[in-house]
Amino acid sequence: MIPVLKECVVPGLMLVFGVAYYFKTTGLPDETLLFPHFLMWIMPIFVGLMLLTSFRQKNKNEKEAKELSSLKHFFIEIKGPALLIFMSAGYIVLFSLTGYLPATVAFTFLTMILLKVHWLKAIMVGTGFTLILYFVFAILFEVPI
Amino acid sequence: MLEILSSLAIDSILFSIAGMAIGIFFGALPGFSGGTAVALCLPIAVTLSPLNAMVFLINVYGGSHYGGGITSILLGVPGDAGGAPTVFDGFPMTRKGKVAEALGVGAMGSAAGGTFSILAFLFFSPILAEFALEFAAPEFFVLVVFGLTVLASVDPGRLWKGLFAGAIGMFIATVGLDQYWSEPRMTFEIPQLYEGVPFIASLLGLFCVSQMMALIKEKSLVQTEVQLTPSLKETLSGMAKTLQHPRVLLQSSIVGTFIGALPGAGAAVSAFVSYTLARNTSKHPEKYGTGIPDGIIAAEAANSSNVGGALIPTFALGIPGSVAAAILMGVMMFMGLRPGPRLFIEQLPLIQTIGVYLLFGCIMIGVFGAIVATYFYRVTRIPLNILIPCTIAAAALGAYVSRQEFFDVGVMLAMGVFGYLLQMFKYPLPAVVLGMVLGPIAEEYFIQSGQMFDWDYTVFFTRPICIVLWMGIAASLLGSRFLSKRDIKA
Repeated sequence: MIPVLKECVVPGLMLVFGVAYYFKTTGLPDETLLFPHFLMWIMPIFVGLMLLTSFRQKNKNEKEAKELSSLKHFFIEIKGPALLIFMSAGYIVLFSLTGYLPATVAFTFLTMILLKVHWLKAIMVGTGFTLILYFVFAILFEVPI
Repeated sequence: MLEILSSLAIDSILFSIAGMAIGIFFGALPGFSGGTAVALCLPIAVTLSPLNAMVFLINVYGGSHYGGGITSILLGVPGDAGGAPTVFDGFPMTRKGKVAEALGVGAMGSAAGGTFSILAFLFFSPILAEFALEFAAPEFFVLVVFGLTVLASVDPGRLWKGLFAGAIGMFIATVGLDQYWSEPRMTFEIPQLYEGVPFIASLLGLFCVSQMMALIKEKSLVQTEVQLTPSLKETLSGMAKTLQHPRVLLQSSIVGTFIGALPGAGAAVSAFVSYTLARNTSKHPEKYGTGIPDGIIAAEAANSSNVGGALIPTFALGIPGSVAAAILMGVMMFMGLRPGPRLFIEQLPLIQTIGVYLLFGCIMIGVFGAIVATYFYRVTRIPLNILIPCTIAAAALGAYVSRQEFFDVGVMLAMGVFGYLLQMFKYPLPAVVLGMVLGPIAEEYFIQSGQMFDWDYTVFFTRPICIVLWMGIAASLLGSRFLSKRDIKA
């Protein structure tokens, strides 16, 4: 990925968000949209200045760009985080279905196993940590979880 | 004052100690910033009274600054950017076998710096707040813009990225019912979004989840193996030695407090400036960097005094002096407290009581900091493959308990992914949080100014206080750039 293109990923996402925002809020009173529209004007200015800086620092960024250029490297990079996202998403679903205690024990235990922690240690830490959190929030602070 | 002292409660004292201990623990973990520490403690804070929550969180924040210095001394690895100058003399002292003395000097330097800055906060904040009562909406709007200059200090090398990230935060903050006309903006008719994107869940996602995603590739936080055999006697001797350097101690505390109070200059700038100043004004500048107590005192006192300094504009003007102060401000607003000059009229006893507990926290660092430092350091050797799932579980619970909505846990995960993406492309995450805190305030004053002055925008540039504030913004931006360049050279 060339440096300038790399700089466009987040602004691209914000552009999608901005376009959706624009169409979703069409028809609202002008005063309501005054500040969001001000931000919509100012953000492309920052993006332009970012790109300009990126052009100037082309040489400096070449090494960084090289690292990101390989698709294989990219997938190696995001393998761990992707696993964590998948496990966390599963945890949220389980939390809403079974409640805090079983979901947290299952999530901490399974994630630790996937991160190569010994199963006995994983079950002890997972259960212990869950019970500590349960004690602090549910019993000490009386938060319904 | 006697009234305040008589109203000191045991639970607040315990939260003060717990906050300090948790802050030291997280501060000592390389990769866990003060912001992450405060974010992870939010689940507990939201269940407490405003007083206990603020005492707890500010002590976490203060403790994390001291904790950042522990690994600087023991391993030569700063826990945060503010702990970097501590490495220059702290680690050489450890290598000379003076580890206990170095920890003692660091603890006492931190305690003294913190105490000075809290006293400055208690003394100067009411004066500043009284002055700020003269401000109208346009002045406050420009003041918020002044607050946004903090973004310049988040990563001076990537100013435009910082500003863009700040604008992203502000844009996210516009989601929900607008504050004046209650029109739903980008809510997709989801009731949970009417109050806006949940702040605490977003914070946990941006600071904790994204950080865990970034750390999952690592095996452990700390690679070096150091044998520690500090004795209590040597530690106490180090603490006593600190008091033999009153000039460096006072000078560094003043520098740290002053820089901390300026939006646009954080703990790292304070510590570097203080260290450079101490070296330049010393009779033996050549000894700096070889492992002398003066170097540790200069860095640690300035680093810790930054905390109280940052609280001055946060409480008196409603403008955070640092990113962690911005998080505290967000929490105060979540609890129904509105930082700013009126807070001093409506809640003066609360502020004074918070100050007293903060002083207590500083004393705790001095008394126990160095002694417990090595034990905390051992605890921080928890392997990442255990730490990561536990942190995610704690963060998820934190996101849930603030409103008891599963939707918030989903927001936490989404913001975690977004935060990871931002980190991957080198955008400063604290800037997004700052934008989320200051965005609604900026919009409020912007609209109020428009209504008051018939939508004449020149009002932001023609009123005398506004002109002075714009000059301050320019000076802050230029000063921050200059200081950061000077630090890099130093």
